[in-house]
Amino acid sequence: MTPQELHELVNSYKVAVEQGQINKDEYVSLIYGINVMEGINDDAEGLLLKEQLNTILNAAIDAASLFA
Amino acid sequence: MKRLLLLCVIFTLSGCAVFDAYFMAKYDTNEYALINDIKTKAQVAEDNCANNLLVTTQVNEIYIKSLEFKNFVTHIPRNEDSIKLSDKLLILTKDTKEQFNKSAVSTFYCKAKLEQIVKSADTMQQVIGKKPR
Repeated sequence: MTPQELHELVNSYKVAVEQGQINKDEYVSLIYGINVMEGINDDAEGLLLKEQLNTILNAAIDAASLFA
Repeated sequence: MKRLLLLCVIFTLSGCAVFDAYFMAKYDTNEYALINDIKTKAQVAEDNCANNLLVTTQVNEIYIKSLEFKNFVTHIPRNEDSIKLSDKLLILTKDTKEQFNKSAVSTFYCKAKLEQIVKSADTMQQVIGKKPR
């Protein structure tokens, strides 16, 4: 999820609580969920970077083995 | 050119990062199946928001599945990234379970909260599926 999408979600929750579609407790829980989602996005990006590095390392090792 | 740049990045990274990346835990079918199961159960539950009793039962199941996912990934060596992800998903599902069991929730909250679980599980599924074979 992009920061823009997260921002849109926060806005939609704000509108919902203002219109009485959700109570304050539910609003707090939804905002808390957004924070957790941001954490998941950050960790997922870290893992993705590691996976890309792994692919490059393996390709480099394969290439080096051709010259050995 | 892109590869050359990436290679430069590798050589400027610390030895630990390279070591971690090279020896990272490989793709695990069970890990992938568990996160897929959580996402699917949340998608199914989203359709039942009108039935508070049924959706609460399904939310409880999602929490149990998240706990199972966390327990599964915990003792796999060099799997710290999945452990961190599973911890956060468990926090999200636990909060959801507590809200649903406290009192009847609004339809908006039900759909929005389950959508958070679906999106988070989808993000996790994408990176877990890309782990090296």
